[in-house]
Amino acid sequence: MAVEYRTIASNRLDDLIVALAEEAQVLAPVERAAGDVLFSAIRTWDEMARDYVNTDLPPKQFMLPQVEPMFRYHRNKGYEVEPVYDEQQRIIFGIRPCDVSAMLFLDLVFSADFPDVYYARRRQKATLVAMTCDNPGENCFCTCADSGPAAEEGFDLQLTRLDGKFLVEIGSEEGSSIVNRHGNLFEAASSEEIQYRLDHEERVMPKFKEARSYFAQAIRRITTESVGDDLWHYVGDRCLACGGCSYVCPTCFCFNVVDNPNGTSGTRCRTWDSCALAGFTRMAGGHNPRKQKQDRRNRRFYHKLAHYYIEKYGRHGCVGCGRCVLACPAGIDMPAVVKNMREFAGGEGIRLENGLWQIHSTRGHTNPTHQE
Amino acid sequence: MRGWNVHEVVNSPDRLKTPLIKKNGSFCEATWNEALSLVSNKLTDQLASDGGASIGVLGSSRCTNEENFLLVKLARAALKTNNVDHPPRLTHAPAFAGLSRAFGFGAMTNSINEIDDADLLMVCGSNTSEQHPAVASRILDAVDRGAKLIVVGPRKHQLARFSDIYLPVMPGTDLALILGMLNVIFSEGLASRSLVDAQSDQYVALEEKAMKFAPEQAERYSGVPADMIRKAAKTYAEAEKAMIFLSTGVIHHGTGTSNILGLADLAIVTGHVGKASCGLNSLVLHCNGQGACDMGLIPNMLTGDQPVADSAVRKKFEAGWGVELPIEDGLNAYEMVKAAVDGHIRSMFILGDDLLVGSPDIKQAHNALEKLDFLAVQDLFLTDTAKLADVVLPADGGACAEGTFTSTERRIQRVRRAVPNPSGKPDWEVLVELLSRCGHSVSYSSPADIMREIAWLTPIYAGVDYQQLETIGGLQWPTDPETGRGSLFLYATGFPEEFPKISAVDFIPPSDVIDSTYPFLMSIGRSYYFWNTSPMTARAPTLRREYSAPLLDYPSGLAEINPEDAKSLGVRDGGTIKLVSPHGELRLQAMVSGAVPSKVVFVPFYLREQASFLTGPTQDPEAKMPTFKESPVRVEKA
Repeated sequence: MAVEYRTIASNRLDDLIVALAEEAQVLAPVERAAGDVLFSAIRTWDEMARDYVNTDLPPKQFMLPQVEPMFRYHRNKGYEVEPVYDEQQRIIFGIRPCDVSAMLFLDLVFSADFPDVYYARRRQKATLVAMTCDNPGENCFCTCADSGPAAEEGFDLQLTRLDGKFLVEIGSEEGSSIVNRHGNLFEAASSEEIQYRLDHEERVMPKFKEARSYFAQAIRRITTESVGDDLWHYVGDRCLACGGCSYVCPTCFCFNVVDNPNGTSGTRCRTWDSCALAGFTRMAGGHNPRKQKQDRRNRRFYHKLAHYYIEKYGRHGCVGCGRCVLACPAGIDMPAVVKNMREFAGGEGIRLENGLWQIHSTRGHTNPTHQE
Repeated sequence: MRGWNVHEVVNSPDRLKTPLIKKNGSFCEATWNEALSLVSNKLTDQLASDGGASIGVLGSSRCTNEENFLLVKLARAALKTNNVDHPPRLTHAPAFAGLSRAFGFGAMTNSINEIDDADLLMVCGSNTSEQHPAVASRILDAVDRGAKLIVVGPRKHQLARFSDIYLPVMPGTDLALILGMLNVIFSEGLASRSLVDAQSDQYVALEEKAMKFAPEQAERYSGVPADMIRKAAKTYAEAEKAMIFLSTGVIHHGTGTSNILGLADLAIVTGHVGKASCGLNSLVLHCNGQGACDMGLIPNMLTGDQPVADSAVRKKFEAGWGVELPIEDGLNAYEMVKAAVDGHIRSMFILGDDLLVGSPDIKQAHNALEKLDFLAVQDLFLTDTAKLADVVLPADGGACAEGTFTSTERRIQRVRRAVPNPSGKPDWEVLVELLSRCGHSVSYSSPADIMREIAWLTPIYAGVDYQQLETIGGLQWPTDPETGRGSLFLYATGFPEEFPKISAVDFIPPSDVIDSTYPFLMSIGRSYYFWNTSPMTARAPTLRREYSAPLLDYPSGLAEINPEDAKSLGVRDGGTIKLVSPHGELRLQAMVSGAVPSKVVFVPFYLREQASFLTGPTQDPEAKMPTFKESPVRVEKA
């Protein structure tokens, strides 16, 4: 459908949120103690964080919770099983464009070979109200993944800050229905206001601190398996195996399945998992095809950037949100490793000698792994 | 890893929800009123019949400052006993003792942020990447930006592989290495920045001692090549800004305190302490390990290291609390266990510590707890220790508590309740009720009230209040009540009068010398996923899975062994070996690994239940801490 535009005055946004909170749970970035910004249920516009870059955790938790009950079971001469579905209607308000893009990636994963009923039910009841980014954070590189600073698809509504009001882009039937249901809050958009939105990317682009990520080089290296074993070994050796990169990643979707028994009944749950962990690839019989950390660690980069995944899903698995940069204690986040693939082409210049790492960039940088 | 999955612990269905009272050998649910009146009656009866010395109280370095402060008050003010301690302290006691003897305060001298400006980092006996990943992360960053890294320790762990100089020291010989480094520093004239006058007796004594200890001699004991010792000594001494980090690897020894004093001497003669990005930093293992000590959860110390023996200190507390305080020397946790076996301690109250599993001698601890007339335990779960109790009370845990923790960098920071407590009763309220029921009425309306009292009684916490902590995100002690500021690093305005002090300690070769009967040293250490006695991680499915991963590959338990040693024994990876010590024997599977040097076997901490049967009774004479780190063993193919 052709994109339609409206505007809403800043002082009417509160009315909108109050009205939406009657219809569904409205989840928006809220600033918590110590400056954390997290998606939390709000009922008024005042509760929402003002100048947030992005939430510390992605909104995937509402589609794929860290712990999701799948069914309850009860032993009674055999087993009685009762599925547990989440029926909550949610409006994710203020979701950033990178996370909208990530949600589209998750949609493909969970609807591809085996449509996932748990994900589908939650997703069907979720409305995405995106907010374009005026001030990218220091770790943002969405422009490299073409997933920001404004979303081009995937949102129901998208807001862009104007002077004293917001431009409202209608991206779906559901978005259109919200605007119609609360028609008295919206006004028509002028052509200047629409043009402002169309110029958004050009206007914001210069504000990115690190707008390059050399994905082209990384995709080529990974797809042709020419990253070099020494570099993978180095990346694996730096990894502290905390799993943080997966937990904060808006597109990481791997999960584990565990039972929480309680006597003769119990709940089967799925929980977030991470390829960084040794237990992740271990098979039921105890054999672990990826026993070495470096063999597990490179999976993250393969899965996000290898050609066959891009071919399968039509998009690559990194949306440039930059959360892993903050989360990774070892400096082997996505932009760092991608940069390393370029600095140490084919794994040249990086070597374990007498058990100690020796590092010399092929591009002649003195401290090639330093992030700044 | 642990942090990302802590929700599994907090939401565990095994959490205790109601108080339990043991009747005829099995637990029955009870009301808070029943449980608390039983606990207070038993403890006050004990006090009346045998005096405070017959009661023991243990706290935990996982509890908030406010909880531990109330616990200390319960012990000393209400139950009239100085038998108050927290067992994990004993793993760090030598560091606290050494640091306060050399400098005045038993704490990290720098802040973690100062790593960013350091030119050189020396990491001694710390597998920082596994035990303090947030600190390791900063060290890796520093290495990336060009700072030099020296790693000292028997295992070539992750940080060691990213170091510039790695010194694979044999367990128990750290001081030999340090003396070798001092020898280089004195003989090459690198002590010109010494903070202690070169004419002073202590300086001269150290110089004399070090001059007799050439790097070649250090090599004989430590196994580190003399040239490496020379290189490390020069690099450390010549650096503009050098920070030392240390942890259990140098502390957990018969000579733990001496090791710390040796490192302190090294820092003093090179002028590397009392300045930004220069200092000696002991990394504390538990979230509130520093705070638990600060709160006086130490037999003979009141809050902020104020000695019970000091009558002025006692008077201040007695005036504040309106009671007379006991002056007898208190027993530490392990001494309490012994005293319980001997029948001198008859009743105990244990908050948040699984004494049984954490004890160096589990059998003895079991006997001790069984022998008690009365035992009350407050914990998150029905731990092995709690199973032996007469009354069990549910506890908060970090995610349910309101209060403060004091981190390893002396930072007092707020902890907020993230989820409700399943029992509905916060720990501090339980302790307030117990205090009142034990005859010492107190009134606090919130943890903030408790902190006000702590700040008032504790000079290093002077002026700390919640409002301030909220606005500036924590304060590092010692605080200045006038300016409301904390201290980024210690001794910025100079050392206290008699400090810094050179100790010039003698190197004593490991007490259990390696000989032909027991040619290997067995070293015990922590692993990433498992956490000391792990009452928490064992209940988190993801952590449990990760922790048991190596046990699936090595189902009988594992010992890391050097490839050369494995070859000469004729053992392959996964093959069964037998470790024999004078105290017992243990069968494990060999994990062949280049991370350990020849003649050393490393047994992960989670197998300590078994491994502790092999370790001897050696104790650090000063800190009275049992040796966990090195024990001579014989390795046989089995």
